[in-house]
Amino acid sequence: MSNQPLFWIFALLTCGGAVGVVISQNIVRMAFSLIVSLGSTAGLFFLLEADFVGATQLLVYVGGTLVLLIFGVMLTASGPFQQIRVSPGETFLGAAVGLLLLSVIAFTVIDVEWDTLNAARTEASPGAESGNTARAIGLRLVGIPADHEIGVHEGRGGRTGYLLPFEIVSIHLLVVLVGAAYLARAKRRVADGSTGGEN
Amino acid sequence: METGWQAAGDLETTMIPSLAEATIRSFLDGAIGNAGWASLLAAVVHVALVAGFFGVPAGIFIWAERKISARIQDRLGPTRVGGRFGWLQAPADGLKLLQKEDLAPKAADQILFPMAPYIVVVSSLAAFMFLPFSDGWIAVSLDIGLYLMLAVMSLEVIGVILAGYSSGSKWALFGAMREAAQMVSYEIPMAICVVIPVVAAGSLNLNEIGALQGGWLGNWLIFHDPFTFATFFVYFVCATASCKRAPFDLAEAESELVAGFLTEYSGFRWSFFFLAEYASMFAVCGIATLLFLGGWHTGIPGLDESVQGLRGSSASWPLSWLANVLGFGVFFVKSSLLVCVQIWVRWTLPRLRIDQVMMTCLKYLVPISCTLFLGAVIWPLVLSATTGKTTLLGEPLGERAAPALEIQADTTMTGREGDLP
Amino acid sequence: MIDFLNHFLLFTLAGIGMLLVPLAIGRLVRPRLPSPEKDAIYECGEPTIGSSYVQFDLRFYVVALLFIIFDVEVAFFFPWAMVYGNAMQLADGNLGDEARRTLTNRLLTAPGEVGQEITADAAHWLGVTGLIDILVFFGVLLVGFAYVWKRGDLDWVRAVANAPTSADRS
Repeated sequence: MSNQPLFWIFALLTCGGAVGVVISQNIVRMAFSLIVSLGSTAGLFFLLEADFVGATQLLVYVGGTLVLLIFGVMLTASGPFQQIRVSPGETFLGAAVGLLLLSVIAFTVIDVEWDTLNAARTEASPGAESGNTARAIGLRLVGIPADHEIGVHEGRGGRTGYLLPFEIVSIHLLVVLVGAAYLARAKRRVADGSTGGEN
Repeated sequence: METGWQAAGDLETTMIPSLAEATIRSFLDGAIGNAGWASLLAAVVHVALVAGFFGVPAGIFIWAERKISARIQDRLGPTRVGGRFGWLQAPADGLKLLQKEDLAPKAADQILFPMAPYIVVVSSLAAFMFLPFSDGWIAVSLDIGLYLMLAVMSLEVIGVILAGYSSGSKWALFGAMREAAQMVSYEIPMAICVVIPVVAAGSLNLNEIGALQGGWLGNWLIFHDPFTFATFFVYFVCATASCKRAPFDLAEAESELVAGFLTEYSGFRWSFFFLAEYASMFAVCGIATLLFLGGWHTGIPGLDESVQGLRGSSASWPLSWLANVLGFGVFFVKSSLLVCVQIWVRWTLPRLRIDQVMMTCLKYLVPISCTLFLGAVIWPLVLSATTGKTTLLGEPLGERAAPALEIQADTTMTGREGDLP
Repeated sequence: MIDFLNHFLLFTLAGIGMLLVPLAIGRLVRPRLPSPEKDAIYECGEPTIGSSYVQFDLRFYVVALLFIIFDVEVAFFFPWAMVYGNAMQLADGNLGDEARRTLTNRLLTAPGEVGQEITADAAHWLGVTGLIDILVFFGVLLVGFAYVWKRGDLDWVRAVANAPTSADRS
């Protein structure tokens, strides 16, 4: 397995970035640590042969959400907001919750029989090992289930791939868009007149 | 994933090894059992080659920009350094900047401030990884290469934001925020414009998209339907804006923001922001060339087929190599012409205001690109309902798309210089 | 994918090296003469007033939000466009048998397992499904876009209609 070193590189970068987010006191350094963490997660997705998910992780999370995050930082904070102070109680609480989550994940990872799972995965979708998932995802999006032959109309049995989730996603995005626009307007009314500078 | 070459070869759609890798593999076959090393070695070769393609065009375009802008303004531009045309101006500038003091203001974030140019350079260099310079001359030929290239190029905005934010200067912060808002906004119409030729080509692999445009001029995707034709121009506007080029260069609006996010940078770090900018210009123009303008194909009927024949199975390696050199030349000339148009536009049009820039994007380019997208999607179905074909000109597109795929599949099996049937 | 990741790591290293090596060489030749004036932030020769980390306007946030939503949407376009493009190529009745076979194998995930090629009719049906699919998906999003446009969230200069505030003048 020649992907072991790559896995360790990306896993360490992911964890290091995550720890950096927690440890850092400076909000923009946190954002940078988050970039490292999320970007390395994309690397882990690529290692799992999920090329489309990995690329989307890069495009949406690293290139998009972080920009939103930084804009949000600029928006919310005023004055000397560069540093974040936490009280010992908060530190303790955060650490406790974090450790709890870590233990849950660790137990899950230990409990799963990875060999059987891998075999089942290879059996279920023989083409999945090649790492070219985009076309398969596209087929599901237009309603072709995994084992369905195109042009055979009968016997579909109501199985339509990811057609319905695909349309639901659009409704979801619509709700997010409208809700965000509404919230932004509400905030603007409150903050009117107190915004600083022509940007 | 099993990485033995035989196992990799069995899967038709696995990683497509490119020229250098195939060559190295043939050298190493048997010598080193572990295929991971061959892949790594090939990657080193690719990095060396692509880094050259990254640096040299950027240097050329910096020089070209000075010459063209000088001519537009009725000046001569650089004339002395390196002989007649001042062609050594860019390296000379680099040498000069190397000796300049590496300043960082006291108020700046001492970790992020030096780091920002690295992010910009890395994202702009990594984008070149997916760019085929000729048929098969591509560092990583992925099934979703185009999508991944856009994703990697979108990371550049992070570097810009960090540069502005960590400088501790108001000019830098304002410039960076404007720049970030502009870059992310223009990414929307740009991505939609990129999807439109993909709807015609049915592939996200840039090498395949380039390969299926051979034959004659009418086979270029820009002439595929009226919508792709219009899309090319919309794409070009968005690409210009996403490279923060004039008339969209608000970040560096000297008259209002001093130098935008670059205000506090000096010396070599500053120069690398510019190197990355010129490299990104070449990258987006390369995408335009591949998606719309026929990639490495000349567009002359007859010539393309014979050149493609040289690349094929029967040719010995110097001939197929020469064919690819020709293809590289064609690709480079096309992309460079587009870059020159960007330079021309910069020195001709006045700069837009920030509200105009945002309005152009959100109220004009996004609706236009959405309309073009819908039109391009409905077009083949309307055509097939009226004429029974799904392409307007010439043979079915699939007749060209299928060989483009077959070449890819054969490469996977045997390598480009391998014993093809 | 491993090949790609190898490349990606090496390209990252090369990008870092391209800047780091000249900077390290430059360390030997460049001066280092700090002075309070040089270390100060540039603000057109004036002493700086206050911190540079000022609060920013909300519209940047709205732009970023719009961007993310469209970004997610366009991310779905890409795999869809691949399949739709392939289907449209296959829907052409004049397509040769060999090309049809190649494209069929390309379109379906497990090549060789499907006995027959996708016929033009089947591909046409697939295309129509895909078209309706994307029209609904895209239409819903455009409704949101129209809403945001109508409510004026896309206007960069918002306060022109209202009384001008300090935010708009300076």
